[in-house]
Amino acid sequence: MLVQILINGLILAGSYALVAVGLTLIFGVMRMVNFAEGQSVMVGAFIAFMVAPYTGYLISIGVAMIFNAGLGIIIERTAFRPFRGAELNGLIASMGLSIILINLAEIIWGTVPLSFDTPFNDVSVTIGSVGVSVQRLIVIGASVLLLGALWWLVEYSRLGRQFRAVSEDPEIAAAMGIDVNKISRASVVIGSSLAAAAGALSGPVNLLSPQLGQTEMLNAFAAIILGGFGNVNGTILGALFIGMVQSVASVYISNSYSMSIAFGLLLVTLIFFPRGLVPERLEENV
Amino acid sequence: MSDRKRSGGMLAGVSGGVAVSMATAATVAVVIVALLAAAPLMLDDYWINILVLGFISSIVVLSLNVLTGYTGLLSFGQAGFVGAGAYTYGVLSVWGVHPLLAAIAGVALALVLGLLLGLPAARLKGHYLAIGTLGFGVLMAQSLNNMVDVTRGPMGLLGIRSFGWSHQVWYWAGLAISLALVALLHWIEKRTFLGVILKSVKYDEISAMSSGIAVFAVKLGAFCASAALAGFAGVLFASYVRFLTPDLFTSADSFRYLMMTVVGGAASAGGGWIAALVLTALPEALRGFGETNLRLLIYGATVLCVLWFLPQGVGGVLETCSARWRRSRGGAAVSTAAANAVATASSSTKHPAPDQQRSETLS
Repeated sequence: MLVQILINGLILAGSYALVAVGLTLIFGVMRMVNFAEGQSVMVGAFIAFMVAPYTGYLISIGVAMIFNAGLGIIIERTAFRPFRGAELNGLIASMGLSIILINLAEIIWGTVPLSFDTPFNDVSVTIGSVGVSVQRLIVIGASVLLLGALWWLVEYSRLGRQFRAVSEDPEIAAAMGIDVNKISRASVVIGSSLAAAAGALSGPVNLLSPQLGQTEMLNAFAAIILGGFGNVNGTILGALFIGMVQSVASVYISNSYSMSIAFGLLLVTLIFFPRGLVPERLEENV
Repeated sequence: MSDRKRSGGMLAGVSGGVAVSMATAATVAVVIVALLAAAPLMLDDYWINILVLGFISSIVVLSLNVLTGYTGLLSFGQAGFVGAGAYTYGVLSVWGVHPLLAAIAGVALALVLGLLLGLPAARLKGHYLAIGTLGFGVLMAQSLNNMVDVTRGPMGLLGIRSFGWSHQVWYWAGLAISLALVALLHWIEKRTFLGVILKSVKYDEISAMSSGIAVFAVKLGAFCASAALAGFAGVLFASYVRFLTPDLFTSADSFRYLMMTVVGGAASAGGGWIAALVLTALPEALRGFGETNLRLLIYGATVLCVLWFLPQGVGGVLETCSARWRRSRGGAAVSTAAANAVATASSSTKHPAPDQQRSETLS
C-alpha cells in the first residue's frame, strides 16, 4: 500500500512539476501567467498518441516536445508579445487561445476520451510486494530527467543566466545586450515543450480528452503558489508536496475531493504565508 | 458621463449649441432605450431567453467591475459566488421557502462567503490573490458537486420555484435591473468620493494608506459588495432557469466572466454590460456555422481580436467617442476650473489611455 501511494504520488508530482516549472519560467521572465499551458499538455498528449504507432512510444514523446516548441512560438506571438506591460489583457488573451485550442482539439480528436496504450503499460516489475507497470516508472524517470535538465539549464548554461538576468530586471538585462524578446520566446518554447512531455508521459496512465489540460494546470498553479512564483526549485518541491498529499488523500479520504484538498491546502498556506512558502524578493517601491 | 456634460454646460452658461446637442443626445438615448424596451415585442422567445441570460451575466460582470475594475483585485472565483447564490435560492425554494426569503438568503450567503474569502484574500497581492480566488472557485464547484444530500450533485437540482414571471417580464426586469446597476456603478466611480477611494487603492496602495485610507477595510468591503452582486445574479439565474447543475459554476465560468469584463474594459460598467450581452449572444448568433466547436473557436478568436485591436476594450471605445463628441460640441465652453475639478475627482476623465494602462498592470 505504502509503495503504491508513493508511486502514485510521484507520478502526479512529476507531471505537475513539468507543467509548473514551465509556468514559473514564463512568469519569471515576462511576469505573465500562461493560461494556455494546460492546453499545451493536452496537445502534447494527443500528438504523442498520433505518432506513437509509427515511431514507438519513447520517440513520440520527443516528437510531441518538438511540435509543442513550435506551438510555443505561436502562443508567444499571439498572446504575450502584443500585451507586454498589460498583464490582465495578456492573461485573457491566453484564455482566448485556450478556448481556440480546446475546440480545435475537439474537432480533430472528438470529445470521447481515448485510451493511449503503450507496450510498457502491460509489463510490470515487482517492488517490495506490489507490481508496478513499467509505464509508471518511465513517467517518474523521465520527469526526473527533464527536471534535472531544466535545472542544469537555468543554473549553469548561458541561456539560463540570461533567463535569470531578465527575470531580475528586464531593462538592465536589455541594456547589457540581452535580447529580451528572444528570451521571452525561449521561455514559452521551453515551457510549452515541457508541458508536452507532461502530457505524453501521463497520457498513457490516464485517459486522453481535450479537457485534460484544465485540471493539470489548476494543480500546477497550486504547486507554483506553494513554491513561490518564479522560483524553479521551490516549484518542484511544491509539486512534490501536492502530488503526495493528493495521492494519500485519494486512498484515505476520497478521490472526488482530491482537487479540493489541494486548493484547501493552498488557501490555508496563503492565510499564514501570503507570499507562498518560498517568498519572492520584495519588490515594493514607496 | 452625461452628468458631467450637463454640469459642464451649466457652469459655462447654456448656449444655443449646447441645448441643441443636449436634445440630440436625449433623443438618441430615448430611442435606444425605447428600442431595447420594445425588443421583446419583436423577438421570438429564443432570443429573449438569450438576452435575459445576457442581462444576468452582465450583473456578474458588474460585480467583477467593482472588484477588478475599480479596486484592482483580481478574482478567478467569481462563479463560486454565483453558484452560492443560485444554489441557496434553489435548495431553499425546493424545500418550500418563499422565493423572496430564499432570494435574500442567497444574496446573504454569497456576502458571507465574500467576507470569509476576503479576510485572507485582502492580504494577498497580484497573482497570489488570483490563484487564491481560483482556489475558492474550485472548492465551491467541488463542494456543489460532492454535497449530494443537499445539492443533488451532478444529477442537478430540479423543481426550483421561480418568481412567476413571463419571458417578457423577465426581459424587462433584467434590462431595468442591469441598466440601473450600470448607472449606479458609473455614478459611484465617476462622481463620488467612494470611487476615488477605490481607485486610490488600485493605483497606489501605499499612498492611499498614508492618506488615511483603511486599505484592508476597503478591500474587504469590495469583496463583500462584489460577492453580494454575484450572488444576486445567481439568484436571478436560478429563478429564471429553474434547473441547476454544478457544471454551471466551475472555474471555466469564472474565466468566462473575467473575459467579458476585460473585453468590456475592466473599469467600465457600460462597456462591461455591452460585452456581457454580445459575448453571450455571439455563440448563439454563430449557430449558422453549425458545430459547437467551430462556434466556440470563432468566439475565442473574437476575444483575441478585441484584445489586439481594442486594448482598452469596449469601454475604451465608449470613452473615446464621448470625449470626441464633447469636443465637437464645443469643449472650450466648459470652463477650465470645472475641467480641473473633474480631473482631480476622477483621474480617468482627462487621460483615459495612461489610466487604462495602469489598470491593466496589477500591483
